[in-house]
Amino acid sequence: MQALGFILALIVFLIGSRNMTGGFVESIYQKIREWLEETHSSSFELRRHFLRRFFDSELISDPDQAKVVAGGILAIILSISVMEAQAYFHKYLYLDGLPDPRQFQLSVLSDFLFLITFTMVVVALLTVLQWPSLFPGLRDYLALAGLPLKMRDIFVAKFVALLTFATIAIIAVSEPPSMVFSFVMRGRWATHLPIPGILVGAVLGGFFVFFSLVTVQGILLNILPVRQFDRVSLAFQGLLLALLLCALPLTLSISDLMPYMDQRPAWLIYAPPMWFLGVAELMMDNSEPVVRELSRIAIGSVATSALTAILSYLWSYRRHRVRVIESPGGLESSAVSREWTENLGDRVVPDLRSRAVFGFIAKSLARSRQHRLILTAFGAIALAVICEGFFSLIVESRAWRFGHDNPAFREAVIAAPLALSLFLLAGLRYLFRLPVELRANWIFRMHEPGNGNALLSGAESFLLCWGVMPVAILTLPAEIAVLGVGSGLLSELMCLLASLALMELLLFQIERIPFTSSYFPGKDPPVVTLLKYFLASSFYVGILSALIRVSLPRPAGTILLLVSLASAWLGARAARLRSRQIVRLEFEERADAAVQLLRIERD
Amino acid sequence: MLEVRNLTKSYNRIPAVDGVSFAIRPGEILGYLGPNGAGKSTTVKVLMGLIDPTTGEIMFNGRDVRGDWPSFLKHVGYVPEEPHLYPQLSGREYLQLVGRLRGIPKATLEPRMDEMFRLFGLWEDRHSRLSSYSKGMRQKALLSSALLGNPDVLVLDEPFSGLDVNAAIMLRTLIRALADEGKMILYSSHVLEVVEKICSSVVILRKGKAVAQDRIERLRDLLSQSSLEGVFTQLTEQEDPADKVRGILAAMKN
Repeated sequence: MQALGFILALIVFLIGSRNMTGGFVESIYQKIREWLEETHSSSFELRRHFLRRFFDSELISDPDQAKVVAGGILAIILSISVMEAQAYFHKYLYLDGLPDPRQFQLSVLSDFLFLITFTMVVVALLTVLQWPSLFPGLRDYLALAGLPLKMRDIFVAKFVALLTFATIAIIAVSEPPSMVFSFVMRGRWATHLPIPGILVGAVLGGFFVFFSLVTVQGILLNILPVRQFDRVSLAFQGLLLALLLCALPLTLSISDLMPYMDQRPAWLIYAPPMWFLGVAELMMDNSEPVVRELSRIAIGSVATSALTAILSYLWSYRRHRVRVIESPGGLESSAVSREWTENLGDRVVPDLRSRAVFGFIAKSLARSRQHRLILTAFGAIALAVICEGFFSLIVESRAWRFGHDNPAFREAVIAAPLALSLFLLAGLRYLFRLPVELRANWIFRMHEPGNGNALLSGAESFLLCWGVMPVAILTLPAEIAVLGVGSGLLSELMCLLASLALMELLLFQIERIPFTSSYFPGKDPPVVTLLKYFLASSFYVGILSALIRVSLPRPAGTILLLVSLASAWLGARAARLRSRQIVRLEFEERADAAVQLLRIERD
Repeated sequence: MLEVRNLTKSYNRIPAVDGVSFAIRPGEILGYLGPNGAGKSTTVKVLMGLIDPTTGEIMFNGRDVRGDWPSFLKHVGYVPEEPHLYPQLSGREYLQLVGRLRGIPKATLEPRMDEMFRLFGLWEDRHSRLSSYSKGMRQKALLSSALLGNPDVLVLDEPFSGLDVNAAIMLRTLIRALADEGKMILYSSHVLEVVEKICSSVVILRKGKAVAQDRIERLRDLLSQSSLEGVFTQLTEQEDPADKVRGILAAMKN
C-alpha cells in the first residue's frame, strides 16, 4: 500500500506543480521548442538527424498507428512495473521483519544482480535491433551527397547520436527500477541508500555491452569483404537476437539465486554481470578483496570496450565509405541453391500460378533482411519457451539430470515441436502481412482475376513446406532418441497433426498474397496480442504436450488422441475451404475505424 | 567557372572515367552524354565528393576543390539519378533537413520551403512520408532540395525522370531561366531531344573517354548530322537497332 501511495503522491505532485507553475513551465517549453526549430551548425543538425533515425521504423507506414502500438506497450510495461513494485515492497517489508539481516542483505544483492543483468540484456537487445544503423551506411552517404558536409562530420555525428541513443536507453532501463529499489529496500537492515551503487553498476554494465557490440560490428565491417559483410552481419545479428531473447526470461530467475549470493567461486571473474555487481557493492562500502577485484575488472572492461569502439569507428572512417560506395551490388544466390529451390517448388506445387507465389515467398523471405530478422525473433521466442519450460520443470521436480529417464526432459522434448511450430507458423503468418516493395504488387493484381484460389494455394504450400514439415523432420531424431522409436514416431505424428490443424486455423480467412498488401500495425491492442500468444502457448504447447506424454504409454489414449487431432485438422481444413469464397484478393489493409459502431439497428 | 581537368577514376586499374576535361561557365548548360556504363554517373559522383578521383583536378572559380569539398558543395545543388531519400521522413522534414544542413536560418528556410512545395505542386502531400511519394513526386522533392540553397552550380542527373508533361515543361523553362541568371549547369541525360533543346554545348563519353566536346550546332555540322541523336549514334558506335529487334522478336516466339 505504501508503494501505491508513493506513486499516487508522485502523480498528484506532478499534476499540481504543472498547474501551479504552468505559465513558467510553458514558457521554458516554448523557448526550448523555438531553439530546437532554429537552424544550428551542420554538426548539430547531423547529430539531430541521426538521433531521430534511431526512433524510425520502416515497418510502420502510419505514424498514428505506431503511436497506438507504442502507447499499448507502455501501458503494459507500466502495469507490470506497478505490480512488481508492490511485490518488492512486500518482500522487503517481510525480510525487514526477520530477526537476522542476512536474508535481507542477500536478497538486495540478488535483486541488484537481476537489475544489472536485465539492463545488460535489454541494452544488448536494443543495440542488436539497431544493428544496421550502428555505422553510417550507403543510404546515409547517398542521401547526404551533394550537401556541404565533411566525411569526418558524418562519422562524428553518427557516433555521438549513437552514444546519445545508448545513454537514453540505458538510463530508461536502469533508472526507474533503481528508484523503486531505493524506495522498497528500506528498514532497519538497510544500511545504505542503494540507489547510487545500483544505478552506477547497471549503467556501466549497459555501456559495456553496447560498446562491445559496436566494436564487434566495427571489426566485421573492416575485415570482411563488403559483399560478404551483409550476409555475415545478418547471421550474427540473428544469432545475437536469438540468444538475447532466450536470455531475457531467464534473467527473471536471477532473484532466486539469493541463497548463493554470499558465495565467491573462482569463476565469478568470468561473469560480466558480477563485475558490475562488484561496483555496486564497493559503492555500498563492501571492501572485500574479491569485490575490489571485480570492480577493477568492471571499470577496465568498460574503458577497454569504449576505446575499442572508438578505434573501430576511426578504422572505418573513409575506408568504409570507399568500400561501400565503390563495391558492386549484393551477392548472387549460388547455382546449387537456386536449382534446389526450383526443383522443390516443381515437385510440391504442380500448378504454375501457385508455384509462382511459392517461389516469390521463398525468394522474398530469403532476401529481406527485416523479414528474416523477425522470423529469427519468433524462432528465438520458441526456443526461450522450450528452455524456460524445461528449467521450470527441472527446478520444480528438483531432478538435476538430463537423461531420457527425466520426466521434465521427456516433456520438454515433446513440447519442442509444438512450440517451434506455433511460433514459426504464427511468425510466418505475421510476416506475410508485412509488405515488400508494395508498389510492385501490380503484377499480382494484374493476374488476380480468376486465379485467386491458385495464388493462395502457393502460400499454403509454402507454410506446409517451410513451416510444418521442417519442424517435424528436425525434431524427429530427438523424439526417437529420448522416447524410443515407437513412442518417438507416435509423438511426432501427433505433433504434426496438431501443427497441421494450427496451420488451417492460421490460414482461416487469409485472402492475400504474402508481402503484397499494405499493413497497419496495432489492429489488435498489444495486451490482446500478448494474451493471445500466452493462451496459445499455454494450451497448444503446455497442455497438449502433457496430454501426449500421458497418452503415450496407453494404447487406447494414444489412439483417442491421434483420432482427435486428425479430426481437428480435417475439420478445420474443411471449414476453411468452405469459407473461402474469393471475390477479390486483399491488397490494401484497412485501419480499424477510430470509433467502432455498435451496429444496433431498429427494425 | 567550374573546370574539370584530366579527370580519371579507375577501379582495379580499369578506368571508368579516363582523362575527361570540361569547363562550365556562368550561364552555360553543359549536356553530359554517353551510353550506359560510359562513366557519366562516376563523374557526377566524383564531383559530389562521393568518390575520390584517381587523378585529375576539379577547379571552382580558380581553386582546387579537393582540399575543401564542403566549401565547394555549399555552391552546388544536386539532383541524383536515383532518388536516394530517407523514406521515413515526410517531404517537409526532408527539405527541412537539407535546409538546416546547408545552414539556412529558420526565418529564410520556412517560407522558401513553403514556396517550393506550392510551386512544385507538393503542398497537399508535404506531410506525407517520402515512402508514399510517386517517382515524379520524389523527383520534385529532390529538385526542391537542390534549389533550396540558391546554388551557383547545378548538377542534374536525369532530372526529368518521372515528371509529367506539365512539370517537365516547367522544369525545362526553369533550367533555362537559371542559366540566364548566371548559374552553371551540368546536365547528364539520355534524353537527347531535351539536351538538344536546352544545352548550349555537350560532352559525349564513350567507354570513359570524352569522344566529343563542343557546341551542338558545331558537332552537327562537323559530322554532317541533322540531329544530336545522329551525332551521338555515330560517335558512340551504337549497334544497329534493327539487328536487336530481330533477335527479340525471335526470342518471343521460341
